[in-house]
Amino acid sequence: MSRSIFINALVLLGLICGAARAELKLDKAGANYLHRRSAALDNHYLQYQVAVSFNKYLNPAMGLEHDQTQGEVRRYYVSNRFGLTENHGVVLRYNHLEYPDWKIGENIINLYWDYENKGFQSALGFSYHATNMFEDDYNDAFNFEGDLDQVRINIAVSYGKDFFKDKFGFRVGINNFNEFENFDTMLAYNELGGYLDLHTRIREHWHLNFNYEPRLIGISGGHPVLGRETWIMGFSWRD
Amino acid sequence: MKEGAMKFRGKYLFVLVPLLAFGCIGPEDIKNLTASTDVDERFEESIDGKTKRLSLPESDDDQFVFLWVTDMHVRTGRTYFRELGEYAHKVGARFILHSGDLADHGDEEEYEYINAEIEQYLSPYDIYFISAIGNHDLSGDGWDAYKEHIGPSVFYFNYGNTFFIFIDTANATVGRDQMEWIEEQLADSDQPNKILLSHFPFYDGTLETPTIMGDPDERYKLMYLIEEYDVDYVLTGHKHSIERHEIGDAVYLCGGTASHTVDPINGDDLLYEFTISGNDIDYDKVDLDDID
Repeated sequence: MSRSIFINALVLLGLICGAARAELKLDKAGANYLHRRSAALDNHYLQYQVAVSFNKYLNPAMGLEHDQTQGEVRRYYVSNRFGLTENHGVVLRYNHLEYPDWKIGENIINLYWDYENKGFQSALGFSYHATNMFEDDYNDAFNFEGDLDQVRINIAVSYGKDFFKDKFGFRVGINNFNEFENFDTMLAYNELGGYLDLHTRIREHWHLNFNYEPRLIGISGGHPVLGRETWIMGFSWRD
Repeated sequence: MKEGAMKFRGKYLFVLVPLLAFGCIGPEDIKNLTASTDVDERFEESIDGKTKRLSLPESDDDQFVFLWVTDMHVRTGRTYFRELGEYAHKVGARFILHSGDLADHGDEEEYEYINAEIEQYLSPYDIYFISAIGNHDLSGDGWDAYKEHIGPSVFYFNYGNTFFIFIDTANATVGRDQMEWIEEQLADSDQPNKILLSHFPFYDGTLETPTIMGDPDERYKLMYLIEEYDVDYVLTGHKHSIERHEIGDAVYLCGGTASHTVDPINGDDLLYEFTISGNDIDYDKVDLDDID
Protein backbone atom coordinates (compact mmCIF):
# COMPACT_ATOMS: atom_id res chain seq x y z
CA MET A 1 0.00 0.00 0.00
CA SER A 2 2.70 2.49 1.02
CA ARG A 3 4.55 1.71 -2.16
CA SER A 4 1.59 2.51 -4.42
CA ILE A 5 0.88 5.69 -2.47
CA PHE A 6 4.42 6.79 -3.01
CA ILE A 7 4.41 6.02 -6.73
CA ASN A 8 1.13 7.84 -7.19
CA ALA A 9 2.49 10.80 -5.26
CA LEU A 10 5.49 10.88 -7.54
CA VAL A 11 3.35 10.79 -10.67
CA LEU A 12 1.14 13.52 -9.25
CA LEU A 13 4.16 15.65 -8.52
CA GLY A 14 5.32 15.21 -12.09
CA LEU A 15 1.94 16.34 -13.37
CA ILE A 16 2.02 19.35 -11.10
CA CYS A 17 5.44 20.26 -12.39
CA GLY A 18 4.31 20.03 -15.97
CA ALA A 19 1.05 21.91 -15.50
CA ALA A 20 2.16 24.66 -13.23
CA ARG A 21 5.71 25.50 -14.24
CA ALA A 22 5.01 29.15 -13.77
CA GLU A 23 4.08 28.63 -10.13
CA LEU A 24 6.40 25.80 -9.18
CA LYS A 25 10.03 25.77 -10.15
CA LEU A 26 11.23 22.43 -11.47
CA ASP A 27 14.88 22.10 -10.53
CA LYS A 28 15.67 18.69 -11.92
CA ALA A 29 14.01 15.58 -13.27
CA GLY A 30 15.66 12.51 -14.64
CA ALA A 31 15.41 8.90 -15.69
CA ASN A 32 18.38 6.55 -15.62
CA TYR A 33 19.36 2.97 -16.23
CA LEU A 34 21.61 1.46 -13.51
CA HIS A 35 23.65 -1.67 -13.14
CA ARG A 36 25.08 -2.59 -9.74
CA ARG A 37 27.60 -5.41 -9.46
CA SER A 38 29.23 -6.63 -6.26
CA ALA A 39 29.81 -9.81 -4.26
CA ALA A 40 26.16 -9.63 -3.26
CA LEU A 41 24.36 -7.92 -6.15
CA ASP A 42 24.24 -8.14 -9.91
CA ASN A 43 21.06 -6.22 -10.61
CA HIS A 44 19.66 -3.81 -13.20
CA TYR A 45 17.44 -0.89 -12.25
CA LEU A 46 15.47 1.97 -13.72
CA GLN A 47 15.80 5.08 -11.64
CA TYR A 48 13.54 8.16 -11.60
CA GLN A 49 14.11 11.41 -9.74
CA VAL A 50 12.40 14.80 -9.53
CA ALA A 51 13.26 17.91 -7.50
CA VAL A 52 11.21 21.10 -7.23
CA SER A 53 11.36 24.41 -5.36
CA PHE A 54 8.61 26.35 -3.66
CA ASN A 55 10.75 28.78 -1.74
CA LYS A 56 14.00 28.97 0.22
CA TYR A 57 12.83 26.48 2.83
CA LEU A 58 10.72 24.12 0.80
CA ASN A 59 12.66 22.22 -1.87
CA PRO A 60 11.25 18.70 -1.99
CA ALA A 61 12.70 15.87 -4.04
CA MET A 62 11.64 12.31 -4.69
CA GLY A 63 13.05 9.27 -6.39
CA LEU A 64 12.52 5.58 -6.89
CA GLU A 65 14.35 2.62 -8.32
CA HIS A 66 12.57 -0.18 -10.07
CA ASP A 67 14.58 -3.40 -9.97
CA GLN A 68 14.42 -4.79 -13.51
CA THR A 69 16.06 -8.02 -12.40
CA GLN A 70 13.24 -8.83 -10.00
CA GLY A 71 10.47 -6.61 -11.32
CA GLU A 72 9.65 -4.57 -8.24
CA VAL A 73 10.25 -1.10 -6.82
CA ARG A 74 13.04 -1.68 -4.32
CA ARG A 75 14.34 1.75 -3.33
CA TYR A 76 12.70 5.13 -2.94
CA TYR A 77 13.19 8.37 -1.09
CA VAL A 78 11.54 11.66 -0.31
CA SER A 79 13.49 14.65 0.95
CA ASN A 80 13.43 18.36 1.59
CA ARG A 81 16.26 20.83 1.52
CA PHE A 82 15.98 23.76 3.89
CA GLY A 83 18.04 26.57 2.45
CA LEU A 84 19.97 28.50 5.09
CA THR A 85 22.06 30.87 2.99
CA GLU A 86 22.90 31.09 -0.68
CA ASN A 87 25.47 28.31 -0.27
CA HIS A 88 24.40 26.38 2.82
CA GLY A 89 21.46 24.14 3.47
CA VAL A 90 20.19 21.27 5.60
CA VAL A 91 18.64 18.19 4.01
CA LEU A 92 16.20 15.85 5.73
CA ARG A 93 15.52 12.65 3.80
CA TYR A 94 13.63 9.43 4.26
CA ASN A 95 14.86 6.35 2.38
CA HIS A 96 13.44 2.89 2.02
CA LEU A 97 15.32 0.02 0.42
CA GLU A 98 14.72 -3.69 0.44
CA TYR A 99 16.26 -7.02 -0.57
CA PRO A 100 13.39 -9.45 -1.23
CA ASP A 101 15.59 -12.54 -1.73
CA TRP A 102 17.03 -12.08 1.73
CA LYS A 103 13.88 -10.70 3.40
CA ILE A 104 15.79 -7.66 4.59
CA GLY A 105 14.59 -4.05 4.40
CA GLU A 106 15.86 -0.71 5.67
CA ASN A 107 14.04 2.46 6.64
CA ILE A 108 16.46 5.33 6.91
CA ILE A 109 16.34 8.91 8.16
CA ASN A 110 19.17 11.12 6.90
CA LEU A 111 20.01 14.56 8.22
CA TYR A 112 22.95 16.39 6.75
CA TRP A 113 24.35 19.84 6.07
CA ASP A 114 25.38 20.64 2.52
CA TYR A 115 27.43 23.39 0.96
CA GLU A 116 28.04 24.45 -2.62
CA ASN A 117 30.33 27.14 -3.95
CA LYS A 118 32.17 27.63 -7.25
CA GLY A 119 31.70 24.03 -8.34
CA PHE A 120 32.63 22.51 -5.00
CA GLN A 121 29.97 20.53 -3.17
CA SER A 122 30.29 18.96 0.25
CA ALA A 123 27.99 17.34 2.75
CA LEU A 124 28.31 16.06 6.29
CA GLY A 125 25.69 14.41 8.44
CA PHE A 126 24.40 11.13 9.74
CA SER A 127 21.80 8.52 8.97
CA TYR A 128 19.71 6.31 11.24
CA HIS A 129 18.89 2.87 9.82
CA ALA A 130 16.12 0.64 11.12
CA THR A 131 16.76 -2.75 9.51
CA ASN A 132 13.91 -5.25 9.36
CA MET A 133 15.12 -8.81 8.87
CA PHE A 134 13.91 -12.27 8.01
CA GLU A 135 10.18 -11.58 8.46
CA ASP A 136 7.48 -10.81 5.92
CA ASP A 137 7.36 -7.19 7.09
CA TYR A 138 10.80 -6.47 5.67
CA ASN A 139 9.14 -4.21 3.06
CA ASP A 140 7.10 -2.24 5.60
CA ALA A 141 8.11 1.34 4.83
CA PHE A 142 6.94 2.64 8.21
CA ASN A 143 8.42 0.04 10.55
CA PHE A 144 11.14 1.76 12.55
CA GLU A 145 11.26 -0.92 15.26
CA GLY A 146 14.00 -2.69 13.34
CA ASP A 147 15.88 -5.84 14.27
CA LEU A 148 19.11 -3.88 13.85
CA ASP A 149 19.72 -0.22 14.63
CA GLN A 150 22.58 1.45 12.82
CA VAL A 151 23.83 5.01 12.78
CA ARG A 152 26.27 5.94 10.03
CA ILE A 153 28.23 9.12 9.39
CA ASN A 154 27.62 10.56 5.93
CA ILE A 155 30.32 12.41 4.00
CA ALA A 156 30.50 13.66 0.41
CA VAL A 157 32.95 15.96 -1.38
CA SER A 158 32.95 16.72 -5.08
CA TYR A 159 33.95 19.21 -7.73
CA GLY A 160 32.20 19.84 -11.02
CA LYS A 161 32.55 22.17 -13.95
CA ASP A 162 30.70 22.87 -17.19
CA PHE A 163 32.55 24.00 -20.28
CA PHE A 164 32.17 24.64 -24.04
CA LYS A 165 29.29 27.03 -23.36
CA ASP A 166 27.86 24.53 -20.88
CA LYS A 167 27.51 21.87 -23.55
CA PHE A 168 29.68 19.45 -21.59
CA GLY A 169 30.32 19.02 -17.91
CA PHE A 170 31.71 16.72 -15.29
CA ARG A 171 31.59 16.13 -11.58
CA VAL A 172 34.11 14.02 -9.72
CA GLY A 173 33.94 13.20 -6.05
CA ILE A 174 34.11 10.81 -3.16
CA ASN A 175 31.21 9.93 -0.93
CA ASN A 176 29.74 7.32 1.30
CA PHE A 177 26.13 8.16 0.53
CA ASN A 178 23.84 9.40 -2.20
CA GLU A 179 20.13 10.01 -2.61
CA PHE A 180 19.30 6.31 -2.74
CA GLU A 181 21.59 4.66 -0.21
CA ASN A 182 24.16 5.00 2.53
CA PHE A 183 27.28 2.91 2.46
CA ASP A 184 29.83 2.24 5.17
CA THR A 185 30.24 4.66 8.01
CA MET A 186 33.50 6.33 7.14
CA LEU A 187 35.59 7.10 4.11
CA ALA A 188 39.04 5.77 3.47
CA TYR A 189 39.20 3.04 6.09
CA ASN A 190 37.42 -0.08 4.95
CA GLU A 191 35.60 1.43 2.06
CA LEU A 192 36.07 4.38 -0.25
CA GLY A 193 33.58 5.28 -2.92
CA GLY A 194 34.30 7.65 -5.73
CA TYR A 195 32.37 8.65 -8.79
CA LEU A 196 32.73 10.36 -12.11
CA ASP A 197 29.70 12.02 -13.63
CA LEU A 198 29.76 13.22 -17.24
CA HIS A 199 26.93 15.03 -18.95
CA THR A 200 26.29 16.73 -22.24
CA ARG A 201 23.49 19.14 -23.11
CA ILE A 202 21.50 17.84 -26.07
CA ARG A 203 18.75 20.49 -26.02
CA GLU A 204 17.96 23.44 -23.81
CA HIS A 205 17.59 22.00 -20.28
CA TRP A 206 17.95 18.42 -21.53
CA HIS A 207 21.10 16.46 -20.75
CA LEU A 208 22.50 13.04 -21.45
CA ASN A 209 24.24 11.61 -18.34
CA PHE A 210 26.83 8.96 -17.67
CA ASN A 211 28.00 8.05 -14.19
CA TYR A 212 30.52 5.46 -13.02
CA GLU A 213 30.93 4.71 -9.33
CA PRO A 214 33.59 2.26 -8.14
CA ARG A 215 33.75 1.45 -4.45
CA LEU A 216 36.97 0.10 -2.96
CA ILE A 217 36.81 -2.27 0.01
CA GLY A 218 39.52 -3.49 2.35
CA ILE A 219 41.68 -0.40 2.47
CA SER A 220 42.55 -1.06 6.10
CA GLY A 221 43.66 -4.55 5.16
CA GLY A 222 46.40 -3.13 3.00
CA HIS A 223 45.15 -4.24 -0.41
CA PRO A 224 41.94 -2.60 -1.56
CA VAL A 225 39.74 -4.58 -3.89
CA LEU A 226 36.96 -3.37 -6.12
CA GLY A 227 33.93 -4.07 -3.97
CA ARG A 228 31.11 -2.69 -6.06
CA GLU A 229 30.69 -0.99 -9.39
CA THR A 230 27.69 1.05 -10.48
CA TRP A 231 27.09 2.23 -14.02
CA ILE A 232 24.39 4.82 -14.69
CA MET A 233 23.17 6.18 -18.03
CA GLY A 234 20.15 8.35 -18.67
CA PHE A 235 18.48 11.65 -19.40
CA SER A 236 17.84 14.60 -17.17
CA TRP A 237 16.06 17.93 -17.32
CA ARG A 238 17.93 20.64 -15.45
CA ASP A 239 16.93 24.19 -14.81
CA MET B 1 63.71 23.35 -11.20
CA LYS B 2 60.57 25.29 -11.92
CA GLU B 3 59.09 27.31 -9.13
CA GLY B 4 55.74 25.55 -9.55
CA ALA B 5 57.30 22.14 -8.99
CA MET B 6 59.00 23.36 -5.84
CA LYS B 7 55.71 24.68 -4.53
CA PHE B 8 54.01 21.36 -5.33
CA ARG B 9 56.61 19.30 -3.53
CA GLY B 10 56.79 21.74 -0.67
CA LYS B 11 53.07 21.43 -0.13
CA TYR B 12 53.27 17.66 0.30
CA LEU B 13 56.38 17.83 2.44
CA PHE B 14 54.49 20.21 4.69
CA VAL B 15 51.99 17.42 5.35
CA LEU B 16 54.25 14.36 5.26
CA VAL B 17 57.12 15.58 7.40
CA PRO B 18 55.02 16.32 10.50
CA LEU B 19 53.17 13.01 10.07
CA LEU B 20 56.44 11.10 9.90
CA ALA B 21 57.91 13.13 12.72
CA PHE B 22 54.99 12.45 15.03
CA GLY B 23 55.01 8.77 14.18
CA CYS B 24 51.62 8.72 12.46
CA ILE B 25 53.21 7.08 9.45
CA GLY B 26 56.21 4.86 10.06
CA PRO B 27 58.10 2.66 7.63
CA GLU B 28 56.11 -0.36 8.84
CA ASP B 29 52.83 1.40 8.15
CA ILE B 30 53.92 2.13 4.58
CA LYS B 31 55.00 -1.49 4.16
CA ASN B 32 51.67 -2.66 5.54
CA LEU B 33 49.84 -0.69 2.87
CA THR B 34 50.82 -3.23 0.26
CA ALA B 35 49.61 -6.81 0.18
CA SER B 36 50.31 -9.13 -2.67
CA THR B 37 46.98 -10.78 -3.46
CA ASP B 38 43.27 -10.21 -3.21
CA VAL B 39 40.48 -12.36 -1.92
CA ASP B 40 39.64 -14.03 -5.24
CA GLU B 41 43.20 -15.26 -5.78
CA ARG B 42 43.44 -16.55 -2.22
CA PHE B 43 40.11 -18.31 -2.58
CA GLU B 44 41.17 -19.99 -5.81
CA GLU B 45 44.53 -21.11 -4.43
CA SER B 46 42.89 -22.42 -1.27
CA ILE B 47 40.20 -24.37 -3.11
CA ASP B 48 42.75 -25.74 -5.59
CA GLY B 49 44.92 -27.05 -2.75
CA LYS B 50 47.87 -24.80 -3.52
CA THR B 51 48.54 -24.13 0.16
CA LYS B 52 49.93 -26.05 3.10
CA ARG B 53 47.60 -28.95 3.87
CA LEU B 54 45.74 -28.46 7.12
CA SER B 55 45.74 -31.08 9.82
CA LEU B 56 42.20 -31.15 11.23
CA PRO B 57 40.69 -33.01 14.19
CA GLU B 58 38.07 -35.72 13.70
CA SER B 59 35.52 -37.24 16.04
CA ASP B 60 32.03 -38.73 16.17
CA ASP B 61 31.49 -37.45 19.71
CA ASP B 62 28.59 -35.01 20.07
CA GLN B 63 29.88 -33.76 23.42
CA PHE B 64 33.13 -31.88 23.37
CA VAL B 65 34.95 -28.71 24.35
CA PHE B 66 36.92 -26.30 22.20
CA LEU B 67 38.54 -22.94 22.81
CA TRP B 68 38.20 -19.84 20.66
CA VAL B 69 40.48 -16.81 20.57
CA THR B 70 41.15 -14.05 18.08
CA ASP B 71 43.67 -11.38 17.08
CA MET B 72 46.79 -12.87 18.65
CA HIS B 73 48.97 -10.46 16.58
CA VAL B 74 52.03 -12.59 17.22
CA ARG B 75 55.45 -11.00 17.00
CA THR B 76 58.51 -13.00 17.83
CA GLY B 77 58.47 -12.86 21.62
CA ARG B 78 55.82 -13.36 24.25
CA THR B 79 52.57 -15.13 23.26
CA TYR B 80 49.67 -16.82 25.00
CA PHE B 81 50.30 -20.24 23.45
CA ARG B 82 51.57 -21.68 26.74
CA GLU B 83 48.46 -20.54 28.62
CA LEU B 84 46.21 -21.77 25.80
CA GLY B 85 47.85 -25.20 25.75
CA GLU B 86 47.69 -25.65 29.50
CA TYR B 87 44.08 -24.50 29.72
CA ALA B 88 42.96 -26.60 26.74
CA HIS B 89 44.61 -29.64 28.31
CA LYS B 90 43.01 -28.90 31.67
CA VAL B 91 39.44 -28.68 30.29
CA GLY B 92 39.90 -31.43 27.71
CA ALA B 93 39.64 -29.23 24.61
CA ARG B 94 40.77 -31.00 21.44
CA PHE B 95 41.28 -27.87 19.40
CA ILE B 96 41.63 -24.07 19.52
CA LEU B 97 40.00 -21.87 16.89
CA HIS B 98 41.26 -18.41 15.97
CA SER B 99 39.48 -15.65 14.00
CA GLY B 100 42.42 -14.04 12.23
CA ASP B 101 45.32 -11.62 12.63
CA LEU B 102 47.49 -14.46 13.81
CA ALA B 103 50.70 -12.63 12.84
CA ASP B 104 51.18 -8.93 13.42
CA HIS B 105 53.21 -8.10 10.29
CA GLY B 106 52.66 -11.15 8.08
CA ASP B 107 56.40 -11.90 8.19
CA GLU B 108 57.73 -15.39 7.50
CA GLU B 109 59.65 -15.21 10.79
CA GLU B 110 56.40 -14.64 12.65
CA TYR B 111 54.71 -17.65 11.05
CA GLU B 112 57.74 -19.82 11.78
CA TYR B 113 57.66 -18.60 15.37
CA ILE B 114 53.92 -19.39 15.62
CA ASN B 115 54.48 -22.92 14.39
CA ALA B 116 57.33 -23.36 16.86
CA GLU B 117 55.10 -22.16 19.70
CA ILE B 118 52.32 -24.53 18.61
CA GLU B 119 54.83 -27.38 18.46
CA GLN B 120 56.14 -26.52 21.91
CA TYR B 121 52.93 -25.79 23.81
CA LEU B 122 50.02 -27.48 21.98
CA SER B 123 51.41 -30.53 20.21
CA PRO B 124 52.49 -32.29 23.42
CA TYR B 125 48.80 -32.36 24.41
CA ASP B 126 47.67 -33.31 20.86
CA ILE B 127 45.72 -30.04 20.57
CA TYR B 128 44.98 -28.64 17.11
CA PHE B 129 45.23 -24.91 16.37
CA ILE B 130 43.07 -23.74 13.43
CA SER B 131 42.91 -20.14 12.23
CA ALA B 132 40.93 -17.92 9.89
CA ILE B 133 42.95 -15.34 7.97
CA GLY B 134 43.00 -11.66 8.97
CA ASN B 135 44.15 -8.42 7.39
CA HIS B 136 47.42 -8.35 9.39
CA ASP B 137 48.20 -11.84 8.12
CA LEU B 138 48.33 -10.33 4.62
CA SER B 139 50.70 -7.46 5.37
CA GLY B 140 53.60 -7.20 2.98
CA ASP B 141 53.81 -10.55 1.19
CA GLY B 142 51.86 -12.13 4.01
CA TRP B 143 49.75 -14.46 1.89
CA ASP B 144 52.84 -16.14 0.44
CA ALA B 145 54.12 -16.86 3.94
CA TYR B 146 50.67 -17.69 5.32
CA LYS B 147 49.81 -20.29 2.72
CA GLU B 148 53.23 -21.91 3.11
CA HIS B 149 53.30 -22.02 6.92
CA ILE B 150 49.66 -21.93 8.04
CA GLY B 151 47.36 -23.12 5.25
CA PRO B 152 44.30 -22.16 3.17
CA SER B 153 42.23 -19.02 3.66
CA VAL B 154 38.87 -20.84 3.28
CA PHE B 155 37.97 -24.33 4.46
CA TYR B 156 35.58 -26.28 6.64
CA PHE B 157 35.59 -29.35 8.82
CA ASN B 158 33.14 -31.43 10.79
CA TYR B 159 33.74 -32.46 14.38
CA GLY B 160 31.08 -34.60 16.01
CA ASN B 161 27.74 -33.01 15.18
CA THR B 162 29.19 -29.57 14.45
CA PHE B 163 30.13 -27.96 11.15
CA PHE B 164 32.90 -25.36 11.32
CA ILE B 165 33.41 -23.06 8.32
CA PHE B 166 36.28 -20.56 8.05
CA ILE B 167 35.77 -17.73 5.56
CA ASP B 168 38.26 -15.21 4.20
CA THR B 169 37.25 -11.64 5.04
CA ALA B 170 40.81 -10.33 5.33
CA ASN B 171 40.07 -7.68 2.69
CA ALA B 172 36.72 -6.84 4.36
CA THR B 173 34.92 -8.62 1.53
CA VAL B 174 34.38 -12.25 0.51
CA GLY B 175 34.10 -11.62 -3.23
CA ARG B 176 31.62 -13.23 -5.61
CA ASP B 177 33.26 -16.67 -5.92
CA GLN B 178 33.63 -17.19 -2.20
CA MET B 179 30.07 -15.96 -1.59
CA GLU B 180 28.78 -18.77 -3.83
CA TRP B 181 31.07 -21.27 -2.12
CA ILE B 182 29.87 -20.23 1.35
CA GLU B 183 26.25 -20.75 0.32
CA GLU B 184 27.02 -24.13 -1.23
CA GLN B 185 28.86 -25.40 1.85
CA LEU B 186 26.20 -24.18 4.27
CA ALA B 187 23.43 -25.66 2.13
CA ASP B 188 25.22 -29.01 1.85
CA SER B 189 25.84 -29.40 5.56
CA ASP B 190 23.25 -31.39 7.48
CA GLN B 191 24.96 -30.99 10.85
CA PRO B 192 22.66 -29.69 13.59
CA ASN B 193 25.31 -27.25 14.85
CA LYS B 194 27.04 -24.76 12.59
CA ILE B 195 29.74 -22.25 13.52
CA LEU B 196 31.24 -19.69 11.14
CA LEU B 197 34.57 -17.94 11.70
CA SER B 198 35.40 -14.64 10.01
CA HIS B 199 37.99 -12.01 10.80
CA PHE B 200 35.84 -8.97 10.05
CA PRO B 201 32.57 -8.59 11.98
CA PHE B 202 29.28 -8.13 10.12
CA TYR B 203 27.71 -5.82 12.69
CA ASP B 204 29.08 -3.90 15.64
CA GLY B 205 26.18 -2.17 17.32
CA THR B 206 24.08 0.92 16.79
CA LEU B 207 26.96 3.31 16.25
CA GLU B 208 28.50 1.61 13.24
CA THR B 209 32.28 1.87 13.04
CA PRO B 210 34.50 1.24 10.01
CA THR B 211 35.81 -1.99 11.56
CA ILE B 212 33.07 -4.13 10.01
CA MET B 213 32.77 -5.63 6.51
CA GLY B 214 32.82 -2.84 3.95
CA ASP B 215 29.73 -3.32 1.80
CA PRO B 216 26.30 -3.21 3.51
CA ASP B 217 24.77 -5.35 0.73
CA GLU B 218 27.39 -8.02 1.33
CA ARG B 219 26.87 -7.93 5.09
CA TYR B 220 23.14 -8.41 4.61
CA LYS B 221 23.59 -11.30 2.22
CA LEU B 222 25.94 -13.05 4.66
CA MET B 223 23.47 -12.46 7.50
CA TYR B 224 20.75 -13.94 5.32
CA LEU B 225 22.85 -17.05 4.60
CA ILE B 226 23.63 -17.40 8.29
CA GLU B 227 19.91 -17.27 9.11
CA GLU B 228 18.74 -19.37 6.16
CA TYR B 229 21.14 -22.23 6.87
CA ASP B 230 20.82 -22.16 10.67
CA VAL B 231 24.32 -21.06 11.64
CA ASP B 232 24.39 -20.91 15.44
CA TYR B 233 27.45 -18.78 16.13
CA VAL B 234 29.52 -16.28 14.13
CA LEU B 235 32.95 -15.82 15.72
CA THR B 236 34.78 -12.67 14.62
CA GLY B 237 37.66 -10.39 15.57
CA HIS B 238 39.39 -7.38 14.04
CA LYS B 239 37.71 -4.71 16.16
CA HIS B 240 39.56 -5.73 19.36
CA SER B 241 36.29 -5.30 21.13
CA ILE B 242 34.34 -7.78 23.24
CA GLU B 243 30.80 -7.82 21.85
CA ARG B 244 27.77 -10.05 21.55
CA HIS B 245 24.86 -9.41 19.18
CA GLU B 246 21.88 -11.62 18.42
CA ILE B 247 20.67 -11.31 14.82
CA GLY B 248 17.84 -13.61 13.88
CA ASP B 249 18.59 -16.97 15.50
CA ALA B 250 22.37 -16.57 15.40
CA VAL B 251 24.76 -15.20 18.00
CA TYR B 252 27.51 -12.93 16.65
CA LEU B 253 30.56 -12.61 18.90
CA CYS B 254 33.53 -10.31 18.57
CA GLY B 255 36.25 -11.82 20.70
CA GLY B 256 38.52 -8.97 21.80
CA THR B 257 42.15 -10.06 21.58
CA ALA B 258 44.46 -12.79 22.87
CA SER B 259 47.63 -10.83 22.32
CA HIS B 260 50.60 -9.44 24.15
CA THR B 261 51.00 -6.72 21.51
CA VAL B 262 47.48 -5.25 21.47
CA ASP B 263 44.73 -5.11 24.08
CA PRO B 264 40.94 -5.22 23.79
CA ILE B 265 39.36 -1.78 23.85
CA ASN B 266 36.83 -2.79 26.49
CA GLY B 267 38.31 -5.49 28.70
CA ASP B 268 41.15 -7.96 29.15
CA ASP B 269 42.70 -10.56 26.86
CA LEU B 270 40.27 -13.45 26.60
CA LEU B 271 39.73 -17.00 25.55
CA TYR B 272 36.25 -18.41 25.06
CA GLU B 273 35.57 -21.94 26.27
CA PHE B 274 32.80 -23.51 24.17
CA THR B 275 30.96 -26.62 25.28
CA ILE B 276 28.99 -28.62 22.74
CA SER B 277 26.46 -30.97 24.29
CA GLY B 278 24.25 -32.44 21.62
CA ASN B 279 22.42 -29.52 20.05
CA ASP B 280 23.26 -27.16 22.91
CA ILE B 281 26.15 -24.74 22.57
CA ASP B 282 27.35 -22.76 25.59
CA TYR B 283 30.39 -20.69 26.24
CA ASP B 284 32.31 -19.04 29.08
CA LYS B 285 34.85 -16.26 28.89
CA VAL B 286 38.21 -16.84 30.58
CA ASP B 287 40.75 -14.11 31.33
CA LEU B 288 44.04 -15.26 29.84
CA ASP B 289 46.06 -13.52 32.58
CA ASP B 290 44.23 -15.58 35.21
CA ILE B 291 45.63 -18.83 33.83
CA ASP B 292 48.62 -19.91 35.89
